[in-house]
Amino acid sequence: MSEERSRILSLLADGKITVDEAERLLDAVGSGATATTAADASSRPAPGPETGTTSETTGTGGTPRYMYVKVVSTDGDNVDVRIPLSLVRSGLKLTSLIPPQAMEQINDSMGEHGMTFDLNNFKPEDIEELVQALREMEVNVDSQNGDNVRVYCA
Amino acid sequence: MSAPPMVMSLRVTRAEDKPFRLWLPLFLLYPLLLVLVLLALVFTIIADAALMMSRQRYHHYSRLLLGSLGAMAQARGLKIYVHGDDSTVDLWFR
Repeated sequence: MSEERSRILSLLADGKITVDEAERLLDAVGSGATATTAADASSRPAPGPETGTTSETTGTGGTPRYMYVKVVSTDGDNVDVRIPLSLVRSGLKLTSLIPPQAMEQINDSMGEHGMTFDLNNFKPEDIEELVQALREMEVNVDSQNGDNVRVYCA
Repeated sequence: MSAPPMVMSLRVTRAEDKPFRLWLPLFLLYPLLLVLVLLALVFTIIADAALMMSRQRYHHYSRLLLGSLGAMAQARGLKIYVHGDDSTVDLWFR
């Protein structure tokens, strides 16, 4: 049994993921992983001209390398951010090294802005799973006033 | 592990002012940064040793410093474009 499959099954046994999520992860780890990744990459809209072509931004085999955040506002304020997923991973690993005093201030500040997520509960072993989940995440928000927010990985 | 960013490109344009452009060769700053990091590392190692001997729970300042460097090295490819009505800010690490 491969390491990935055993890890997925242990997560299922611990109750951290559902049966459906485990089945999807097992399928992704199996032979359909490359085809699924390529199909997801091709089904997404191509990035804008300022972010380059898909072939320049994806890694070998179509593995997403960047997270894109695009905000198009009707009042002319547009934001286009491209973040390397390796930077996201490194930043997440840093959370385990933040001093406790600073961590409390960060959690309090996040709580004041409505994010009750406790960074102390973030384990290093969850980082790869989170990055994998981010690679499959796509957020598309169209507001009533015509603003559009897109978050995706490619 | 990818190479750290070599160049930082910053462009700020405003409707009424001249555009501001900055092209910073980061690779020229890395030797200086290395010296500063080594100096800081001396202090962090001493601090970690003192905290460890006093049985403090947190004694990872050296790892935090090196981890911050590692995170900074992964910034290659980071692009931030903010375009407003009368101003634009483009920041790119490549």
